[in-house]
Amino acid sequence: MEMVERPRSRSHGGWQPVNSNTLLYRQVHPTQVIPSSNTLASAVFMPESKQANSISTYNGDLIKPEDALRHYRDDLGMKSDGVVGLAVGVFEQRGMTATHDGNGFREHVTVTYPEDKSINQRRQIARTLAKLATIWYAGGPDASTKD
Amino acid sequence: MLPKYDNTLCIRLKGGRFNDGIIPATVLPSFAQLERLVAEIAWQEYVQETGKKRGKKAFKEAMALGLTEVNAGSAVATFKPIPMNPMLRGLDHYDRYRNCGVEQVHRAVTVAGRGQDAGTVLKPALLAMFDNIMPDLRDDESVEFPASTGPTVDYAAMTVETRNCIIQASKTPTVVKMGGVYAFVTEINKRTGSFELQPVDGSTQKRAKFQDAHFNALRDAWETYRRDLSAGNPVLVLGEMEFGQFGSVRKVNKVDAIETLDPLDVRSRLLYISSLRDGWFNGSGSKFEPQYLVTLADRFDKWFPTELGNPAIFPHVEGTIGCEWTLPRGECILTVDPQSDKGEWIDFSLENENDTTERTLRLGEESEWKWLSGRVAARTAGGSR
Repeated sequence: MEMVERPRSRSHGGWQPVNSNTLLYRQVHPTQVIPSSNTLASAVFMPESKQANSISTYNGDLIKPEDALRHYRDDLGMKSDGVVGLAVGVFEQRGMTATHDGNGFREHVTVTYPEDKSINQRRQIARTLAKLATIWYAGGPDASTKD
Repeated sequence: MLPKYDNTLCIRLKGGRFNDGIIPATVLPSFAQLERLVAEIAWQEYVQETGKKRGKKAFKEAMALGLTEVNAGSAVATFKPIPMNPMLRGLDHYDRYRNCGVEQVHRAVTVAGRGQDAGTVLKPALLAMFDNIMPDLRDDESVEFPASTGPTVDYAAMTVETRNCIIQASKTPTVVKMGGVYAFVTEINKRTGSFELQPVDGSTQKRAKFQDAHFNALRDAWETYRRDLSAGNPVLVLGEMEFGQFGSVRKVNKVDAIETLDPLDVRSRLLYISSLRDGWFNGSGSKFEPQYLVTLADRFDKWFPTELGNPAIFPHVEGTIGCEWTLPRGECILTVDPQSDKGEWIDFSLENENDTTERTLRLGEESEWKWLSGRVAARTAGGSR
C-alpha cells in the first residue's frame, strides 16, 4: 500500500499515515449544493482564495463522516449541509498531495494542488472531483428548524 | 435566581460622538420616538392577533421604557419597561408584544442594510417614524438595534445610508398590479387555506391564500423545502401583488397561479445569490451586487437557448459566480466575474484530459453568448463538434 506522507500529528504526538485508500472528507457549505438536482459545486474542492493552493479535509481513518460533520458544525461553529468523501488515491491521480498535519484538529489533512496548474486547470480538477465524490447528507442544521 | 423573562432592551451607539461611552442629550428624543415606534408595532400586532381594538392608551402606557444604564461599547443604552398603570404590572404578554415590535425594527433595519425595501417588513406609516429617530446621525456613527429584548448577539446596524433607505421606502407608494414572486414554500395550512412563502431574494416571508387547484404544486414544493437542507424547489407565485421600493413585493393579495420551477432555474438561483449577506461563507465572502445578478439573468433569458438546459449556479467566496453544466460529452464551467463583466470559460471531457477548450468571454456581447451556446451544444449528445 502506497504511503503518501508520514507526518507527525501535532495533537497525537505520533505518526498518522494516510494511504491511497484512506477516505478524506470535505465539508459542503449550504451554498455549494442543490440537493433537489443532486448537484455539487466544483467550488467544494477549490481553495477558498486565488492565493491559496490547498484545501482542508478530515482523515477518514480517524473519524466517521457524521462525526466530521458534527465537529465542523458544533465544535468549530461552521455551516455545512453534509460531507463528501474521496479516497486519497483519487487526489494523487491528479498530481495532488495529501498531508496529515493535524492542523487545528487531530484529523486535519491538507490536500495540495500541483504548483504548475492554472486556475482553469484547477477548476477542471475540482469539477472532476465533485463528480466522483460520494455525498453524505446529514439532515442539515436548517432542516431541524424547519419542521 | 434568574428572572423568569429578561425584558431589557439594549441599544448600541457606535463611533463618532458616542465614543467614550457618551450619549449626547440631543439624542434622547430619538429614544422616545423608538419607544413610540415599538409600541405602535406591538399594538398593531395585538389588534391583528386578538381582534380587539379598545384599550390602546393603556396598552401603549404598558409599553413605556425607562433608561436604566449607559455602559461603554461605544455607548450601550439599556432600557427596562416601566408600566405607568399599576393595574398593568406583571402582565407578561405585554413583554411579548413589545418584543415583537423590537424584532420588526431589527428586521426593517436589516433589510434596508441589504439595500432592499424595508416596506416589505413595516408599513410606510411606521417606516416614516424613523424620520425622528437619529435625524442627526453622522457618517462615522451607527445605531445598532437588537433582534429581541433580553440577551442577544444579533444586532442590525443603522448607518446614515441605511436610515436614508428606510425613509425613502416610507415615501415610496405601494402599487397594486399583477406580477410574480420567486419563492420557497415554507408552510401550508389546509385549515385556513393559506401558505407561507419565503421569497428567494431573502426578503420578508409572506402569507397568502391559495385555491384548491394550487394545492398539489404547493405541497410538492413544500416537500422539497422540508426535505432539502437549505432551500428546496422554488415556485413562481403569480397574481395580484403590492409592489414597493425597487419593485419589491410587499404583499400578495391574490394568487392566480403557482408555477413549479426547475431547481436549477437561472433567475431564482441568481435571486438566491443576491440574498447572501457579507460574511455568508462562515464569515468570509462579500454580498453580491443585486443589479448585476439581474443583468446576468436577463442575458441568460435573451442569449442562451433554454433547450440547452440550465447550468447549476453557485456563488464563490472570492466574489465570482460559477455556472456549471454536466453534459453527456463533458463538463462546462463559466466563471463570471461581476467586477470585470467577463467570464472564464472551460469545457472538457472527463475521459480525455486533453480534450479541453478555454476562452475569456466579454459577457455584455451577444456574439460571445452564441459561442458559449455552441460549446454547450457541442458537449450535448448529438451536438456537432
